[in-house]
Amino acid sequence: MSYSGFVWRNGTRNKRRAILTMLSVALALFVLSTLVTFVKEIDRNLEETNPLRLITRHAVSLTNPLPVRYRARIESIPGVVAVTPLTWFGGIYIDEAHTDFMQFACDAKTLFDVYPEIALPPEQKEAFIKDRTGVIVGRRKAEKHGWKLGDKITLKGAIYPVDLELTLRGIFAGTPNQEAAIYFHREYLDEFPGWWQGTVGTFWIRVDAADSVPRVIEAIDAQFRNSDAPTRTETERAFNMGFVSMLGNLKGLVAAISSVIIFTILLVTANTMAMSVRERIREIAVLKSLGFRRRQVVGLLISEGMAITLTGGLIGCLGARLIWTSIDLAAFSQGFFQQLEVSWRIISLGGLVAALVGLLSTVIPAYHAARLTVAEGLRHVG
Amino acid sequence: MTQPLVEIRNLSRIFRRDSVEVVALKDINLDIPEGDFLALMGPSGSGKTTLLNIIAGLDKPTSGVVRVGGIEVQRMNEDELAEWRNHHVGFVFQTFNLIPVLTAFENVELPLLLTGLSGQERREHVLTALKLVGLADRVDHYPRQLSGGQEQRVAIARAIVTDPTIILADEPTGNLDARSAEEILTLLQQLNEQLHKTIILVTHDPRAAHYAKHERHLEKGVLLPPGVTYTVEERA
Ligand SMILES: Nc1ncnc2c1ncn2[C@@H]1O[C@H](COP(=O)(O)OP(=O)(O)OP(=O)(O)O)[C@@H](O)[C@H]1O
Ligand SMILES: [Mg+2]
Repeated sequence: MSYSGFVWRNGTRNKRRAILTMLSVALALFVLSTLVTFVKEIDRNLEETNPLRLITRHAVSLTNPLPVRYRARIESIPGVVAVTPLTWFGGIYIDEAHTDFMQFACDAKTLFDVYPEIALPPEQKEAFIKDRTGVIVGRRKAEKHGWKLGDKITLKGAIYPVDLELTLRGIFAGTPNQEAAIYFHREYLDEFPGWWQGTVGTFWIRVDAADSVPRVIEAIDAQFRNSDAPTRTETERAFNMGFVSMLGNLKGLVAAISSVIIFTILLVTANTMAMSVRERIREIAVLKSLGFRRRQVVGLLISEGMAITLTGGLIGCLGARLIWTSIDLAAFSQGFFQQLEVSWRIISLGGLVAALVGLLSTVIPAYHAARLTVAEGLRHVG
Repeated sequence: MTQPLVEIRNLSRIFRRDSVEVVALKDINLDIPEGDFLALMGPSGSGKTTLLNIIAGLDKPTSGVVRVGGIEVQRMNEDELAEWRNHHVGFVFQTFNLIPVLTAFENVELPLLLTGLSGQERREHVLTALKLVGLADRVDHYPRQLSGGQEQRVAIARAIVTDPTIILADEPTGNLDARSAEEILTLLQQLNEQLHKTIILVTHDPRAAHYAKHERHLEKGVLLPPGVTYTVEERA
């Protein structure tokens, strides 16, 4: 029998109690690792943004369109390198479960000036620009849906009452988030008669230098301040952050929830360990009568508590990793959220938190039990 | 004359709880030579357990001296005591006190985990001890799968596995039927006669006298002179 074998045997002697404690720690760490991963994912999204890219949209709301003719006036502002319109289509591909990407109506000729990171082979780029019904998609999505160049991709409009029959002309590579959007010609959408003719959702702008950013923002919004469609211009980061801020003070909330969770499992395990130690006062005295030192007894009990919480914690974190990677989050969120992968770093951190909970919850009862003299312990009944 | 293994001089133990004082042991003087098998008898509450605990260093005397093998037990600190007990003292309890989640083998192995012995060496020692108590065929049984007498024999194996200088048994037959009690007493006698273990046996059991070499009686914390037994009414 090894020392660790003895610890494990003691820790799991009351099977139901050990399992319930492990489960509560597992559940807590599942939620904890998920929350932390969620915040990290949002942070990563923001980091991927380009500081030289601005977005102009209607001052009232994103759902209000802007006149397409604004483009020329934005282009004429000093510091602006390129402007391209982008309109969120929000259609359905086959059904909601298959719609794991966002769709944008764009201007094919200027899209790549503003989005140099859309890496597309030159001949595909040319084919896309030439084909009025052409569409380009990300590599991961092409693989997932089995799309080949020349394939037809039909989008059923949800906001726009039109069905678009698109032809795949290019497959580009990028980060998972970049690859989560597909682009087709806004001219094609504009052919269908309706309120949207002559309008765009947003303009995406590239500026020449970081110094120009505040001035260009100010200049664009000043241009249109007194028109029917006033604008609001902001950096790509601020724009994305606007989506995040819909969730409120996310980080503060996550921190608060996390502390409550940790505190709760601390109380639960402290209670369990106190019970488990109290029931074994006599046994602890026997160990000491055999020659176990006080510190060895404390070590034994703490290891027990830590073994239980660490096991539970790892089950929770690994469970979160398994569940979130096997669920198709992209389809679930219609392309807004591409992945939620609980990293090994977060899993190790979760294990550490769980082990620490085990340590803290056992140290006091263990210390008290070990401090009793053997004679006192042996007289203990119960 | 050689020095006795256990020397007790003017030993007293007073328990104080709140304002109540209980004199558990009063001015005890006792020598126990090496190789002795002493039956320590006396009515309930006479201080037998208290005396045994002090000899084993599990409790401290209020005054007086206990020397075991020339070492003053009460002078050692916690860690020294723990190590000393591991090497020199084997304890047997009335309630067996085996660890329920460990097999007979593992229970006996427990004190050896504190030594530097290898797994193979530990195994040999454990099997030898279990064979000695006649339980070689029960090594993988858990305490709940054993009879009371068998449990106590495992406890004795645990007490002797480290080859201690002295075995202290506190009413080891108290929870056993007559037959098992006799088996245990016979076993202790064999350990004394064949392996020359020094044994102090605390007991109520009048049969114990037939097995031990000597018999001493305690009454209300006082050790009666050799040959004097405690009063009969209390014995009934
Ligand atoms: N920790 C303690 N606190 C207070 N009093 C104690 C304590 N331990 C023992 N005593 C008292 O000391 C006296 C002797 O107790 P001890 O346990 O040594 O008796 P005993 O002879 O072993 O009795 P029994 O045969 O019932 O086991 C008793 O009056 C007991 O109440
Ligand atoms: Mg007693």
